[in-house]
Amino acid sequence: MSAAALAPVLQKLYGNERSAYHLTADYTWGWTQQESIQAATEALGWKTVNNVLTPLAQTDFSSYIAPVLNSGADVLVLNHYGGNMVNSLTNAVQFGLREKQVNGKNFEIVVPLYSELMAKGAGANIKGIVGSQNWDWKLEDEGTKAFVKSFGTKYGFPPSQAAQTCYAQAMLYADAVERAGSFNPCAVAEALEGFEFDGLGNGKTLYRADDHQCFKDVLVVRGAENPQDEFHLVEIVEVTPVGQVTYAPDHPMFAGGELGQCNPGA
Amino acid sequence: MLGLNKKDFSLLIVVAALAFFAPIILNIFPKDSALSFFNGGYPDLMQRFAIFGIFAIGFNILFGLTGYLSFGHAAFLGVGSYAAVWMFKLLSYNVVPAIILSVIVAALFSVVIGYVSLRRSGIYFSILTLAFAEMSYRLAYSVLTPLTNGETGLQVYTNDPQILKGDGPSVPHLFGLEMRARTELDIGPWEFTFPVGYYLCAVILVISFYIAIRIFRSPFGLTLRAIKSNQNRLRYTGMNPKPYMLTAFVISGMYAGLAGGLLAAMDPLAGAERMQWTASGEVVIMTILGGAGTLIGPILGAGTIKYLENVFSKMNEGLLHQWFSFLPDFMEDGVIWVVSKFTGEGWHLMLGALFMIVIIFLPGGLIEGGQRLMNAIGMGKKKDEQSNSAKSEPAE
Amino acid sequence: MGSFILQILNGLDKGSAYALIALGLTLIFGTLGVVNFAHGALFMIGAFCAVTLSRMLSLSFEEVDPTKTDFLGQPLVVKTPYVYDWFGPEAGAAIIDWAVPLAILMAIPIMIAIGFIMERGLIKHFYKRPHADQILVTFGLAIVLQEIVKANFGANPVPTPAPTAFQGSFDFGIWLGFDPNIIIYPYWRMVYFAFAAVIIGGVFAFLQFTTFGMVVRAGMADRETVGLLGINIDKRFTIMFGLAAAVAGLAGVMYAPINSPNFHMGMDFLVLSFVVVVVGGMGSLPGAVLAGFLLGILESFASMNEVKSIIPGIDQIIIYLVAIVILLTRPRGLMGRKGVMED
Repeated sequence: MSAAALAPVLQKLYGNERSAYHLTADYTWGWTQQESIQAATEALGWKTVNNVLTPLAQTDFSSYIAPVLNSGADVLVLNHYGGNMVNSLTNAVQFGLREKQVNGKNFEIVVPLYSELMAKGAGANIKGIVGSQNWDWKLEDEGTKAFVKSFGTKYGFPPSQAAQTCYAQAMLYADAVERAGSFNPCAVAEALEGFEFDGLGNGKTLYRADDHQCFKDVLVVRGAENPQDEFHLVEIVEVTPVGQVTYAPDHPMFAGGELGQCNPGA
Repeated sequence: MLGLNKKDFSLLIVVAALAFFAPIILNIFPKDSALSFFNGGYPDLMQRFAIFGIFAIGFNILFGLTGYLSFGHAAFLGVGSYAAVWMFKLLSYNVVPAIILSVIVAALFSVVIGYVSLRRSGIYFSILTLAFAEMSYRLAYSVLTPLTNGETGLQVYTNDPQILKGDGPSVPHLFGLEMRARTELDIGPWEFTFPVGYYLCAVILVISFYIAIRIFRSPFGLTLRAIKSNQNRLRYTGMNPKPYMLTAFVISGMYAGLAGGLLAAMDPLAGAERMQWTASGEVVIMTILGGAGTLIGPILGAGTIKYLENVFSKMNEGLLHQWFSFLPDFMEDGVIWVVSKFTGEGWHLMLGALFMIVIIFLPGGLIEGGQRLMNAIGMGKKKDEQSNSAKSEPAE
Repeated sequence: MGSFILQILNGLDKGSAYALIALGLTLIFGTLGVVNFAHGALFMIGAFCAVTLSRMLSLSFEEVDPTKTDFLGQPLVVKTPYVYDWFGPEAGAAIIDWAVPLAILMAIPIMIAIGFIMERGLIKHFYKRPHADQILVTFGLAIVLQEIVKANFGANPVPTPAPTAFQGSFDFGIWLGFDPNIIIYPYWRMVYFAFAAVIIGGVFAFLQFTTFGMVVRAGMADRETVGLLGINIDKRFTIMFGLAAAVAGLAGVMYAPINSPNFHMGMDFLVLSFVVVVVGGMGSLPGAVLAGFLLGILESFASMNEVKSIIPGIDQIIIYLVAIVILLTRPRGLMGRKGVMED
């Protein structure tokens, strides 16, 4: 999803002739993310120089960043999330990758998926880093505006995407229970299968029945160069419409196998 | 009875009764009363009481008797869980082969780790066990993913072979009796739940406890205590402590594997985080909190920690405001400010503080606290020799 | 070749942090005979000293600017740090910029005080208790300290940048005759290495060349005899505990710009630094330093692609593997004295 949303923007910003070096968190999420980004960027004509797996418990990434310097790559893709990403990005910027020129191009760093919380943890290092997000409080639709207003009035800062996700999920769950007329997990699941809704800030959103994946618009964002305040750390570059990120349920890279039977747990 | 003296037998009866009536004891507050928040009698939590009780009993056989402090026991629990889920994947959802295999695999694993680690003692032993457990955890998360399914956790998929499944249920079961099945009983304002899964755990807990008593009272257990009090002296008498140590280590590893297998039997999912060194630290805390070296202490410690974890961690500020609303405003805010630091998200702070207090003031754990309390109010008999000899001696 | 040198630099840098923490652990173990599981927490508190100072310096007064609006469309509240007001905007900005080095001044008294309180209030009562009890009580303390920090600073990492002058990196390769851009290394990491070297040198000089240090060393070798000579060794040991806490704290302060501090960074380093101490030899100060740098370099080499392609996953476990091998083959560690904690 991130990959499909990011690829056109990466092409627009960085062109078709790039060599990417991947650092990937060594666990299932990292692997799938890396695989999809590699596929999407190679489709643009990018080369993949290397993919190095890093331990999840790693805190200092210097020894993984150092080899990037002389690898001939001109893009570093950090398939890291949370604390991993905060540290690896901080280290990458420390090593001066952002000021480097390789193959006559500016060296770039891409973090396929990040959140404001991570941007906040990375501080000034997030400047100019392209990535994707689910949702951002700066979106202009009515649902977002209403949510930002009531959340901001109560807490004094705009909601993060985690806050929005929690809020939206609680609403969806309550609604599904109401429609199903039952708390039974299987009935709730059934109420959500193939359910499409709008108005929670992400545009039209679908819970596809075939594989229980959620499809909605994806935001491509970039760390702001000169944030006007601490709440404007990232800016929205583009909203990739849901159509571009939807894939077939039997897509070889993402297919998760059969759903199996519902187990209500009791 | 059953080869136990009168005192031990009554202890066994107490534990069995507690385990059997737990669904009632733990749901002592009527459903709609304000205190029902403190009820712990729901299936998930009761299963955890029993399972971590088993884990801690096993840990106590090593630490309580020999004084060897292992910081890597979670690894055995982890492999136990993995073994059980693999049985579900390959054979069927019947929990019997799963639990048996989890014990066997944990035993093999602990023979290897124990053989190597026991070549050192004291803090070196702790670090060796910790190093092995951390290695297992990290490899399970990354390189061994084909075996462990990494971060996603090992689980059963519909296309798994399950060669013995046939028409059997698609959830863990004991010869057809589903683990999640339960009987509800409403008596007046009370509501009690009797889950099958819990009772399986409880029966195994009582059996484990019985075996532990037998080990404590056996010549083997006496040898282990001799190792704790003075290994050199034992050697001078011509005994080689190593085989005894290894046996104790393997037995406690098997208990951990059993606990891991039961965890998987209650919820057929196994994740690597069960092996992390902080998880090993948790069983250390349980055992010591309850009273290392005592028979019933570890069960008590496991119960206390799991109860605090599940009940105190869900006390949020809104709830506190409700409870303390009888206080005048300025006091209410102050009290809530203090209490909220120790509850909800802050419950780890309470855990750490409680643990420190126990180590500093009650090296014998809650059991010692109970004894002191009894003595103080004059109810306790003079300390009998049994409990004296079982009290913690310097572990070195 | 270039990447080889880079990894040695990386190893030395990682090793500096390991060595500083292990040095403090060894000081405590060597003098007091106490195994301190809360030492990682002291490192973490040091890092949060840097965070606290940079927050204190950024304390601001608020003014409403009616010409601008905030994200809710209300008049914008403009925050101006007090230091801007006191020293003028330029000097004020410079002071905030230099928060991390300035935090050293703040951290030294704070860490020494924490060390004193810990030793007098808690550790003192555990000298006669078994090692297992010491491990456990300090483990509990580590949890408490970490939770207090979490309650005050939140669970997210707090970015704490180095002064602008030290941001960016330095082309090391040109000096060594390589082409430009082959071996570049961040300024701040070089500062960290130099800082660690100074601290380590300082501690050794203190122990080697002062009378105080001589007495402490004598106490490490034979506590009873020194006590019989009528020297108040306890008081000196308390001071050593404060010193060890200060070393860990300073290591933490300077580490803050390298990785944004978070509440569990102490636990992350704890296990590692114990491995360092054991590999170096319990109670041996030079051993702790040597093992710190050695393990840092080994860890860096293990993360090289060339190595990883031969043994996948080696970077995950290298440290533990080394610890196991050392403990089984040479339990007194690289430089441990014969007979000290050898079984």
